[in-house]
Amino acid sequence: MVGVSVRGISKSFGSASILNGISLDICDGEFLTLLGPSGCGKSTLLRIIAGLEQQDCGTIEVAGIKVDHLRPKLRDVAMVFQSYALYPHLTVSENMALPLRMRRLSAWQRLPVIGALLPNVRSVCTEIKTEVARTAKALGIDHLLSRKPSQLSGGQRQRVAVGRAMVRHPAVFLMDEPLSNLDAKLRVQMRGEIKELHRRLGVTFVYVTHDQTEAMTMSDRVAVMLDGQVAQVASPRQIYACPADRRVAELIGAPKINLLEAAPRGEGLLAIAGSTLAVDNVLDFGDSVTVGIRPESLQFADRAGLNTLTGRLRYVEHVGADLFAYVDVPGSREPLVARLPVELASRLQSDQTLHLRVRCEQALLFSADGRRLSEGDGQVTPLRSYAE
Amino acid sequence: MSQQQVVVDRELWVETGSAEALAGYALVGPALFLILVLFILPAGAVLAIAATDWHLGAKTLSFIGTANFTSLLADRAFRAALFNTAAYVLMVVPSTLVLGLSLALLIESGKSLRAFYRAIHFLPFMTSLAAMAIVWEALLHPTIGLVNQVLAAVGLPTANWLRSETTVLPILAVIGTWQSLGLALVLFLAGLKAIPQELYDAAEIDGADGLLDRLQTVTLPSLAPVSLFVVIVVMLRAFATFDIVQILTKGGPDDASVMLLYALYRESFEYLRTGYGAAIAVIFLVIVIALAAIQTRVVNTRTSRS
Amino acid sequence: MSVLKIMSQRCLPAVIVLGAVLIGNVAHAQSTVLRVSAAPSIFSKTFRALASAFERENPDVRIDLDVSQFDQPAIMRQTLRMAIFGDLPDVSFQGSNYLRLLADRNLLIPLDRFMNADPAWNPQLYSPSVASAGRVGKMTYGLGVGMSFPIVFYNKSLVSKVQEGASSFPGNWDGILEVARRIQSENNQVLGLFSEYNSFMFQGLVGCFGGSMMNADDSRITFTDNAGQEAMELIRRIGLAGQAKVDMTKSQSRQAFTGARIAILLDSSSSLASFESEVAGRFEIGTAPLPMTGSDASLPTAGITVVMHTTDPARQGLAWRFMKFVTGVEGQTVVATTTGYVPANETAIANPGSLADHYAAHPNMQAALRSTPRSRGWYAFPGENAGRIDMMIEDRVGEVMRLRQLPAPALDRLAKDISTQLPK
Repeated sequence: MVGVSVRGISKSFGSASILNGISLDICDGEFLTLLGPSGCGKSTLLRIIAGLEQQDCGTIEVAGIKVDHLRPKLRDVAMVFQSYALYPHLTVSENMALPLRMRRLSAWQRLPVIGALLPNVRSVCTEIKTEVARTAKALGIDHLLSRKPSQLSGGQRQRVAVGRAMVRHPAVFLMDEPLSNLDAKLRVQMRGEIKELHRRLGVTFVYVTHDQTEAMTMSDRVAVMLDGQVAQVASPRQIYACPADRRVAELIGAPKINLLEAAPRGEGLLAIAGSTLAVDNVLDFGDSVTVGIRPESLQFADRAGLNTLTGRLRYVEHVGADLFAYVDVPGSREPLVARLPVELASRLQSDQTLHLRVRCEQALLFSADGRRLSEGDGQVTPLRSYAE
Repeated sequence: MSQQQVVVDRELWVETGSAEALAGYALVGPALFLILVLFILPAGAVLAIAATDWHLGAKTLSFIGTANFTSLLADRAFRAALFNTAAYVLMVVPSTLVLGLSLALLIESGKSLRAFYRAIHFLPFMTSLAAMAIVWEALLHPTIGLVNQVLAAVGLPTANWLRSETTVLPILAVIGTWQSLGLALVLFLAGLKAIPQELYDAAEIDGADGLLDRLQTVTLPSLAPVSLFVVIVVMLRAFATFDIVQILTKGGPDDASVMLLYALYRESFEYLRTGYGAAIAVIFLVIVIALAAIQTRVVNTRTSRS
Repeated sequence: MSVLKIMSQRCLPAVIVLGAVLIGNVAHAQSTVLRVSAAPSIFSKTFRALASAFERENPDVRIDLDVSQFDQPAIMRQTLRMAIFGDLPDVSFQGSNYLRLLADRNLLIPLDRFMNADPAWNPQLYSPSVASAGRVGKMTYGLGVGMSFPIVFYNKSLVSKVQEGASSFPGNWDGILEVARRIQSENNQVLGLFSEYNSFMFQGLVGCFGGSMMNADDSRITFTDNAGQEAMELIRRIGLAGQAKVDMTKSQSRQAFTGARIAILLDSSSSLASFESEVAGRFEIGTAPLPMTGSDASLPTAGITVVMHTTDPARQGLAWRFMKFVTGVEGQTVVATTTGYVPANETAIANPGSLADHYAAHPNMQAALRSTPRSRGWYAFPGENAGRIDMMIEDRVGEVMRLRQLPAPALDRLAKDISTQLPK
């Protein structure tokens, strides 16, 4: 069953084309992240799903119903914004009650003094109050109900924004980079809470972020968006292990994947950075190939040889449990990053010559136009055009 | 010779702190002097003159204590001035606020020519009210004025706007609103630009997507600080109205449009009863300071709460 | 030695400049400077012409002229301010209604002494009206330079249409009101008669009926007598005739008159020049003096009088020479031909010469000229509250004009209010 269906959505602002024929099927109840660098159109897509922007062409379906001509409030979606967008002059409980008031009370009934005198208003208001209290308790903010947003911390505001979305019991939760305004520690905590929330509610979540850690840790699936198109939609594991495109590979993984130009030498051999790699796959390499090696695929070696790269150690980053060595190799402007065990720290010095063995079975090969060369398995959404 | 000089120098500047303080006073000195001479001393002089019966140009005066103030409160013309000024302010401030906000919303929602509309509406604020008052006088002429001609052509009743006790104050309020409108408009436009689009988005998703709902949920509450500022500025300007009374009505007919500042001017410079006029000035000052203090308190409590 | 050299290098230019100034001053030491302030500033050309003409005839005197003040109230206030600093000019031109105020503050030198001592001051050269314009109580504080009176302006085309051939304008109030009524009934866009009702006009109307504001020694209010009642009744009739509904400000009434929306206008004679240039031939303007009844009838005189401030006897002599020049035939000719004022000195008009030719070419000035014999000073109430009293008069008379109050009770209330403002 499809929660949200996006078909052929295109959008331009003036002469700038932001979205180019996006199609995406979001399963009911799944947590899908739209991941991409700034300007790739992910927020625009989210806003189009919400109904805040009108697409130039294409359709959106939510829970099986075409919503293209419906106003946002009728689309059964709720949205949490990057800056929370809490109404600054209302208290927390009033902020959370607003969507319910808008939905259940007419304009006359909402008037400040006169409205309270109309029949039924009292009972509806009490209903709303109970629901708000319940949601607040679930989020742990029931002690803040009478405060104004300016008196709350970042994390508390976030929860209020989530609560405001929750009271509506929407079919789809839309989140536009909600954690980017929080500090690192809070971010980690909130990641867990959002994931927990998703588990509890079981509702479709569409989450937009540029932070790949969030995407990897929280999502059921990740849709990587680049230049207004979906580069790949797959589970985080697959995106990591089998990126469809060189740019997807660059996006995912910290530190960034090492990319080196290689020249085929026939028979599965590649000349790379002054040494030779023997690759298992026998594929049509073409004239040149880019090899992607994750930092954890590089191991310390005693001496040079086949499948071993040699270079000068530039510097070392010690991050507690890991050691990252930055090595200059010939043929590459950027240093190679290798993840090495911390015990080696004492044996490493700047400017020494370092040998790194490549685990070739983990290497990713990309053709000249960026596509990954593979036997063809894995969920890959091929790019229609590739603009460098 | 040089040795002695060094000793002398050291004695002169025992603490460098005093040198800095001296420099500070020297720099502040001119400004302080000007404030004293142009503001504090004249204000003090007015306070002193208010307790005398001095007439402009008289060589002698005598202290009469608070006699000026007691006769002011019993004076029909002064009570009329107080009442008229209050009524005028109560007419100008709300209408400027409402009209300015409405115009700002209209202009902001338009797609083009925003700068043009802004300029057009700001022009009256920049022009000299004295020149504009003469134009208004021609417009409001009871027989050949444009206003009455248009009203008569449309079939609406006309009136002798500047010479009827019932219409003169409202008409002055219209002119005052017309002039302050530009200021309110520009301030509201700036305030509107500062409202984050995300709030409108959230409101739209929450269901507040009609014009009135948006106004009530997002726009008006966000404009509260700007509105407060506009109220303060317009109120103080309205309180200090003088030019239109002096040029158009001279307080008439029969004191129906005399305002505080005009009463002050008339008593001091036309009747030459400067002591009496100074008493009016003191009362005016007290009222303005009170208003400003109240408004400062309101602004402070708002900003400390948020 | 080096010090001297430096000094001479720095000081030499200063010495030269100083020397030049001193020499220049010595050269001018022959002529004395007479400081003169004059208003209104729209007639600055007239005052400059007077100054140059005087300087030509009296090469030993140089006039330092200040025409910066806009109107008579402004120059009065400037005079008061300068008095505080002891910086009064030697001579100034003031509005006749401010003479009392300035005299009470001892800022004016009485002129009777000069008039009596000077053989050149005789009625052949200076008519009595010159001195009477500047009389306050028993003393003369100023000499009349130019006078203006309230007169009747009328739109000749509108009036002749209802006059059915009678070419002369009615000489009494009933007649004028009748003409106004007829014009109004024929042209419903036109107001027949408009009169302003400030203190000056009220004095004028009371004077037309032979009355005055107070009695001769300022002890009793007299405008509540018969003359005042008649004047107030006339005001009411003017209001009834139409002004009550379309009351307007002075400038609006002038616009309406030149726009042919008011047929008959009571205004100051000095407006004639501006009316004629505004009308620019669209219709012919006629003038007539205010109808006066009885031999006691008088008219208040607006206009400028020249007064003396200086206390130094040598300069007083110079000032007196200047004042005589301005009020003499030559000065009065300048005034009459370049302003709308009537010359205060009747002998200037009587003598054949350029002035007589000038008036022959401007028949509309006759109305003002004929008012001259009846002229009396612009009365100012005693005490410090004259300005306030003027406002009270305008308010009460305005009420009657707008038909909000009947004449008799308005007069009583006015008398009561004014008596509280008079010195006890």
